[in-house]
Amino acid sequence: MSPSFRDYWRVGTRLGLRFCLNRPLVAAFLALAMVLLVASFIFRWVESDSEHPLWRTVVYSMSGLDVDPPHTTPGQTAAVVVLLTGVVFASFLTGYIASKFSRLFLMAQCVPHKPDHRVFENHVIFLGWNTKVRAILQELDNCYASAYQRRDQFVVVSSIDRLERGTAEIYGNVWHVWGKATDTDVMHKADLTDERGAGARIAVIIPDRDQVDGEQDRRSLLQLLAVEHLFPEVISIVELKCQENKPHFENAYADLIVEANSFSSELLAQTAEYPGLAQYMDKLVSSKQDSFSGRQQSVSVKFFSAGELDVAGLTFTEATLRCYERASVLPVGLFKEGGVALYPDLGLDHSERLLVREDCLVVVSGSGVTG
Amino acid sequence: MSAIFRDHIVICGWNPRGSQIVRKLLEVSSCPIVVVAQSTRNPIVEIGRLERVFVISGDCSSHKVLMEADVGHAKSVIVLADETLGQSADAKSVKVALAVERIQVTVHTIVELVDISNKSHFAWTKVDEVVAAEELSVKLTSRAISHILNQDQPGGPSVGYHTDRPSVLGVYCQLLGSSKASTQIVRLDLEWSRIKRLRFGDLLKIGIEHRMIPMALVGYQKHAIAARPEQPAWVSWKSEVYPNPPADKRIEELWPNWPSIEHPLGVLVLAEPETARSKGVDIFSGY
Repeated sequence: MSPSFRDYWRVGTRLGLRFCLNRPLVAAFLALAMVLLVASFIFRWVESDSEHPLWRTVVYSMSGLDVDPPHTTPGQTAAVVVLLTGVVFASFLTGYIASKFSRLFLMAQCVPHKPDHRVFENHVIFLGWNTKVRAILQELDNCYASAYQRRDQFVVVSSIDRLERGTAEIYGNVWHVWGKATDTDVMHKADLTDERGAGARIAVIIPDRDQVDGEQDRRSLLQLLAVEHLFPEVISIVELKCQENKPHFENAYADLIVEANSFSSELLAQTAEYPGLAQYMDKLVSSKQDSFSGRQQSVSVKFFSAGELDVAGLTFTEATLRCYERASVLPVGLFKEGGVALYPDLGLDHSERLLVREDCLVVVSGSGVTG
Repeated sequence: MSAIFRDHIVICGWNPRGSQIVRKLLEVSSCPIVVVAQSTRNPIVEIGRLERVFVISGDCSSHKVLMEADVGHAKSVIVLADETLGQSADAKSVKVALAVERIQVTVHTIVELVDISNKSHFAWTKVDEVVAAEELSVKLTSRAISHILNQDQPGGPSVGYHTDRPSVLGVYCQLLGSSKASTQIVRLDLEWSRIKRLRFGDLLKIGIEHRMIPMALVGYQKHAIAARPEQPAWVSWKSEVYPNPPADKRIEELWPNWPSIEHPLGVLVLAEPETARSKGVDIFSGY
């Protein structure tokens, strides 16, 4: 049996009511438009003896100003309705457009939300948003020398509504996913896992400064557990505040643990005995120098193979002298089984033997040196 | 009144990192250590009664207390951040640093900073070095991220990051000697008049023959502050660290204005500490 008109009416009414309930503002806007349209037609039909009925209708709907007021009672009634609904309609429309513009302006100052349809791969995820994360992004911006390197994408997972966007160029590749870092759906939206693509490359867990050290470590540990559970292949970097919590982070399979408090304590003590050491370490870890002498002094630790440095067939000491004479690249150690050996503690077998192409050297070099 | 302590290390203030600092100082230095704290209870409870460690009770910014600690004859003064003051910790550190510098401007002062944004306030003091754990955390993390990301870029280092290979973070710790390795960076003070005509390349050759790698030079740079018209400009000499200097330039060319021949040239070398301390100066000065 084919549906009757009553069925269509019932379905249409139900759909219309659902639409109005889901989008009340749009429904109100459309209702106003309907009333304005109907009232305008009535006004035009009733006052049709005037010279320019359509123009009169438009003027009445916007301002009510007219040199030729309506003559008939229905016409006057219709004019009042047209006037009131017209003004409300116009202000509604103006306000909506203005809010869109101001939202655009505001959003230009905020980190944009990651679109759901975009899939990121091998990107970096920051869990949390605070001054430290902003400072890390600024440091990374300083590190970037080439346009190719600027293709890395960064996703910030945070339950803060709006993340203030910095002025550095790197913010062109920074996206915001709203939510808690321990929420599985949120981490899927951030493309942590390899469900849609290759998954994230690095997950960085930075604690908030507002909490006490022990509480910071507890929260970081929870986030680390969530990340490692969802995607163990990701490289997790986590900052540790209290040294005694380190075994817990190791048990949770943190890949890299930044022990800044412990490092700074060591540095304070060593610098008291060896003045200048703190300045040197600052240059070694910084990406940008603030030397008032204007010297180009940016150095960092890098790893190169002996083949890349063209020192295969030389001993370590010969390689050091050659690399430094050529390009001010200073080899300081070698990869050995179990870790890095720094000169002169290379062991007899490594200090005397000739390097092969695959040997990996630890060097201190300027930031522009790429091998 | 003659000083009780000379060439010692003074720690002004106390916080949870104090005990680690004292223990490290006992390892690397043979100098006495004087701790100045508002309450002597915390230092004594945390580090116990150790030989070469002395605790004085009092306000670190007080002239009388600092004189009692013989700051004027100290080798170095470490100003620790007072974390009980929260955001005002750095303000107190500035006070203490100024009090120390007023007693003896040439003493080597190192200040622990809490808020990185306050670093600029120390630029115009005579504080020699500033260490901020927050700043180190940011820089170490960004170095670790950059190291991992750069592996895949054209022109980046060919040795990729792998979970069973040591990380760049581990290397920084090793350079500082914070792991149990036997080599670390130490400083040697060389006479300017003996060394100024050498080149860094010469120092490198000399060092390598004796199992040391010079990594940086520590010189001085004139630092002038513009004054008001009726007053002369204030001039001071700040230490300047120059890592990886050019191999072929003479050291006197790197620092054409040297304060005076009494000021030593510092060389940071990577070596076994005992070897460097016992023979390093003679080895480099002999050329």
